[in-house]
Amino acid sequence: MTAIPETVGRSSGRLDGEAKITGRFEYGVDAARPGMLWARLARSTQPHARIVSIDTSAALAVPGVYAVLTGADTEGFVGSRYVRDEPILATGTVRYAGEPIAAVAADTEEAAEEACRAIVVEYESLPVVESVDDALAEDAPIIHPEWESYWVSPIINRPGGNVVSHATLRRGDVDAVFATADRVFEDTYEVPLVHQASLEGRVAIAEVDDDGKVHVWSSHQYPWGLRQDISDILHIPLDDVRVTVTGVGGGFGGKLYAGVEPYCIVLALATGRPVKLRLTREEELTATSPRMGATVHLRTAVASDGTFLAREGRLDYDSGAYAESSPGVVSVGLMTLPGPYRWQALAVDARAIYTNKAGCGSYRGPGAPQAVFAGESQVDRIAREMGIDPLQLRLHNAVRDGDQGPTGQVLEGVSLVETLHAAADKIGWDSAGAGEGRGRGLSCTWWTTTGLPSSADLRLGEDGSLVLVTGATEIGTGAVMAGVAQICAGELGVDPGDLTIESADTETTPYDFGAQGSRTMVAAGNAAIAAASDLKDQMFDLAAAKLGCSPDDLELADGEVRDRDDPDAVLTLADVARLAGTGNGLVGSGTYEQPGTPFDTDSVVGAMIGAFNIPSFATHACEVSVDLATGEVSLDRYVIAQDVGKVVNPRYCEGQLTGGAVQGIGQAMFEEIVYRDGHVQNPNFTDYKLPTMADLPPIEAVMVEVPSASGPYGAKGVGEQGVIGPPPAIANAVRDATGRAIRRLPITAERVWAALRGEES
Amino acid sequence: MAIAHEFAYHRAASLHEAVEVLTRAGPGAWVLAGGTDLVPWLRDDAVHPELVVDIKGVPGLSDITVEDRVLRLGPLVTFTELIESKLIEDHLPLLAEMAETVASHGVRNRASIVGNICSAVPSCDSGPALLVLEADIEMLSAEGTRSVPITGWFTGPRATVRRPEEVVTGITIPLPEGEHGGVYLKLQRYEGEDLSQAGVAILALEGNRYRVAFGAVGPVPSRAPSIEAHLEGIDLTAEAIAGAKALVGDEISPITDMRATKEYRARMCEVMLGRGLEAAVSRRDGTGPAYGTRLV
Repeated sequence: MTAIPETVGRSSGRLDGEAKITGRFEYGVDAARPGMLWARLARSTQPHARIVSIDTSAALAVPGVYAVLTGADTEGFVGSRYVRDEPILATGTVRYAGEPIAAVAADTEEAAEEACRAIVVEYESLPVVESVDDALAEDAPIIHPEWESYWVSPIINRPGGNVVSHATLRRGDVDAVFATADRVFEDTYEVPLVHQASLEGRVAIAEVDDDGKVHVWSSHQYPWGLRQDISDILHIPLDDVRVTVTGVGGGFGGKLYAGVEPYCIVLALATGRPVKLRLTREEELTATSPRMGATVHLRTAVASDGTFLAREGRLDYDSGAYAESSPGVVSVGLMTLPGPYRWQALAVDARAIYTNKAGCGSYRGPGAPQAVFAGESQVDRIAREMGIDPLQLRLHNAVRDGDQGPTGQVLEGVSLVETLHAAADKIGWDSAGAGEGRGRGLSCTWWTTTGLPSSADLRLGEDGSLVLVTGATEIGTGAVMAGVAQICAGELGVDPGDLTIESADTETTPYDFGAQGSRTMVAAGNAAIAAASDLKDQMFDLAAAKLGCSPDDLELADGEVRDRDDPDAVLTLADVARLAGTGNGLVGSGTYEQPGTPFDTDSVVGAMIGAFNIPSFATHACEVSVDLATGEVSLDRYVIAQDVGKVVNPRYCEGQLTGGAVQGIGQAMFEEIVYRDGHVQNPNFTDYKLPTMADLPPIEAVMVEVPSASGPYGAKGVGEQGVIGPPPAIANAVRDATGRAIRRLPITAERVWAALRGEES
Repeated sequence: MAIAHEFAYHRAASLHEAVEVLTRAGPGAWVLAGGTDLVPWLRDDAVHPELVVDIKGVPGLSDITVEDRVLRLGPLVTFTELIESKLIEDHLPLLAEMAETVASHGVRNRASIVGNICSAVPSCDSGPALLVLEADIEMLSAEGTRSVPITGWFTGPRATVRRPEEVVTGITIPLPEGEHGGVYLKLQRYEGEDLSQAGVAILALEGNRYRVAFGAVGPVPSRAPSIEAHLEGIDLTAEAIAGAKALVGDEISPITDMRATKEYRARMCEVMLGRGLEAAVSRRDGTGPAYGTRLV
């Protein structure tokens, strides 16, 4: 590990901070192109139906309308990344209410909207599959009767029928270990669909040049993934697609795949004009890849002293009408249902199942909150029913350095015990026993830092300017505009404010695997360190020749290259850049790729994720008071203690822990996309409730630092993990306060009230 | 989403002018005050006015006055103005307590209490409070003025006795005689902005007389005469409260929707009635929890 520069560990401002705080920052919704048309989508009003006819004549007659496309015009344009089951415009069958049926481009958004309303669709209704139980029933309608004909990513285990994918984990002899158990606990938990709800919805512009090259501007987390999606879906050669990332007003996993872009492109091709599409909140909440709901069946075998022996679980995730990212997400259930504990044997089945709802996608910590709500709620039940303190039970079973993870990976830098102690100390766990209507709860989580490559170029201009060119996208976290900036500046001995960052464009910036999997600051930070090292080598070679010393004698500090032993031997950055004699100064380049973590590959089938790289651990603790007459839960205190490896920017690091916890609290207490008869009942923030400041106590964040071997200065990914822990921590606190287990989210007042009356939640 | 529906817009300089324009336009005309209901409804394509008559430019419509023991609210008085008014604090703090539960800061800064009762959604917070205060609604039309008691105002969900060509010119409230204590309790899913799942307003008067009204648990906000009769003249003992709670089922007709079940709404009305009666009486007697204290 290199020495830690002075810029690291400071709460510096972010490079995009001033523009954002003054309102000058340009988000995707602000972007425009000359001659641009506006697009709107006409959507299915039926959750499952055969399309008998579509009449677009009235739509085409609306003044200002340039194009009205239906499935007949987009035949063969089918997504998505793992299973090609989702035509961009429905052809023959609609499978959820809100599915796009036609795309319209017009002079104004109003005209496009009017044209959408003028489209007449005749349907023949089909039976609606409302839940995973419906989907798995013997006589269930098959939502994709032609599923065998679809292209499928080879790693996916595809049983067929309404089951999109089935991932399994088998370690040890579960039956034999269960036979030795003193106690066996068995529960079923339910988690509803929830939405990323980023303030800026999905938005993009597409423009096609005279040579047929497509240029897309999109509020997106992963431009290279988007470029590949566009190429695959629309059969456009990869090198004819360019993606430029605009300012991103929140992503949370909702902007990792092609979404609105294919519609912009087909309309741009049809009209010869740039086309912009932005979705409304209603469209977001009804038709854009929310987090899957799940039903979780869980059995755990425990020895008389509380030692966990074996766990057996079945996670049935509700994928909605299309696969989208669910085949990847289910495999996270295999990793997280066991929790960060030692086991002799494990058997987990995780399936994604088709229903007539919006196709589900990725959302911060994908797949984990469903599994961990079940796993950690049951840990609490085990503790209480066996008369063991929930903290002590977790400490007793916690994984330590050198233990194996659920798939046999050898765990390093393990920090669960540290986070348990930190959270317990902060909440004052020893003084537990808060009394009637008051309670405390804990939960533990672990998470990965996704690998795959990041690259960076670092340009030193002849004017002394420094530009970091990175494909990493800043989606609001500060990972790039604070974290990577501080790392890069620190390596060069300058202030982060002396740096300019260019990001992200598939044509002008080097590759990055995207803002996903808690990886951005770790991966792009390491790439920046490598680029800085390359640039420094070049600078020192030139400077040493000029100054007549050895490169080893030189140091880079305060914007100067100088000889440690000779105070007069000093060159400015601009001096060094000019020595190159290129007119362009110097360019350093670096690439980083986290090596894959070895695991027992025989233990899993159909799993796209088999190990957690650079694992991090966290403990959540909270205190609630419950109004025993109304069931209302008041969250009085909330503590999150998370291992971040090494804090690069305390303010933004804490922001990730706090923000994650807040989103998790929303999922614990308020949020649910409510479907009835296949229709979303709450496609607005009036009834899809996000927590506000008024609902939240101060989040007390403890940043535990147990360094990783490969993150910058020991840093670990921090972005996602905070969202996972709140539902079980709060459910466990409510159980402590009331004696009642809540096994279905969200934990609403009415649900607690019903539980207090003895009704099963 | 953009508003796809075309309509004419008229900015009135006076209420008389507004009435003239409304009378000419007929039933397709809507009055625009704060716009916090009308604009979202337009955007959601839920209403299709031919004409919108904006009264925001009419001077003098935001006055709060007390004259001859009658409090008067102009038609543009916002919820924020209710919260910040010294007159309201001194005379009818119940109105400020109610106003604080409405929506969010931004909405309260624009939304008017008159607009709230003109929109007349069953969950409107103003309804129960104005019912226990026995407010009157003043209106102007080409035929002159008329005044309607709030008990006769609401005729159904989103429906009132106001005719399309009438403009509400104010709300008048006779100040209660003697010591009195009021309370508004609102059941909501969270502390932030939310619509009422059930609302209860209570006014405890001298001589152990009580006025009780419910919101969001029937097609219109309504008084609860059987509960008022039961409590009339008696001290608020545990037995009296239990008797009052037992009558709640006769006075409300809640429905199940995605916000709450009818069973939960009904039981919570009992809980809120009990807590509200105790708070109103202790406020009347000068010992109660401060106005604005959350009781559910």
